Amino acid sequence: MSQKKALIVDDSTVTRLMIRKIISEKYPNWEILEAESADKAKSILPEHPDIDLFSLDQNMPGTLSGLDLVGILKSNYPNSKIMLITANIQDAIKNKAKDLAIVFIEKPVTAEKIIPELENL
Amino acid sequence: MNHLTELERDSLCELFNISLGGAAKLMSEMISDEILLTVPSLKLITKSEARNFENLAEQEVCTVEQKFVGDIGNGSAFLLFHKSSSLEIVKMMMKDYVALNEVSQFEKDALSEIGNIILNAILSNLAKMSDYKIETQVPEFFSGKYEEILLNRNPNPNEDNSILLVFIDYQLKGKEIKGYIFFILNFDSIKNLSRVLIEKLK
Repeated sequence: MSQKKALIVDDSTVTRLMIRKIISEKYPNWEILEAESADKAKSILPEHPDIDLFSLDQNMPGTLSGLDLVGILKSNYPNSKIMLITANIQDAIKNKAKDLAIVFIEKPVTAEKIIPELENL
Repeated sequence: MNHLTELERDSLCELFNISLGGAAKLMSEMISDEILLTVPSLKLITKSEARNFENLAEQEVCTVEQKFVGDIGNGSAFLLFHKSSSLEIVKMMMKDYVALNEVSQFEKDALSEIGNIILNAILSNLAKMSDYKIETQVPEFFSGKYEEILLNRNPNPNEDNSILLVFIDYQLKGKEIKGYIFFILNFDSIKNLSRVLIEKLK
């Protein structure tokens, strides 16, 4: 598989570490970026117009939530995959993810939940 | 005096039984081990009663607070562990991801994430079963004396908040890890929640 680029957006260091490890073990040549908030992610997007996969938490400190970021990503990365990986499993959040046609994954993160989403990239 | 009828108490117990079952499954996934939960006991207590609960007042604890707002009212949910138990939980959670001698660096973050997942699972289930809308905020981690963390941080000291106390006993492969979940919510909200649940169960 060719080299891909992923951006993990989550305020939890532990969750970023877990997602990074799951992706790296399956695809060691992928470049993985991290941001601890959606605001930070938004600020680094112009430097990286070639991101293939976004992993977003929903509730993070700052002005933007994970779902707030999705509109921006849909416009600028129309061919990229977006996963909302969140502990917030309320129906309203799930339904918004469904309406936006993004992948919804319930925390805790496991390889079984994430790897299938990487295989068609 | 604030009190719940037997039916109201039963409805809340049922809600938490279902919710904690889901939360235990999630925690088992996080630490890659089976968790055995005792049936949670549920008590509605005042703050002064909470002060003396389980001789915790002077004990060092770690807690994750998840504030919530919505139809149920404004409140806070806390997942609370004895300080001595917390590192054991983090070791189990992080063993595949970092070297054991690095685990303590991740203690705050790992416990925050456990709290985030467990408390969100319970609140999500509560919203689903009651049809209440509940919005959660970013969880916060605190460590220190139980009394200072749980009881002295109330922003409205004059408000007659009740504490809906759900006591859980976690058993992790021979290690006895005790955990507690507290909900701080005013009594009217607790009463309304139980009424809504009773209507749903009819």
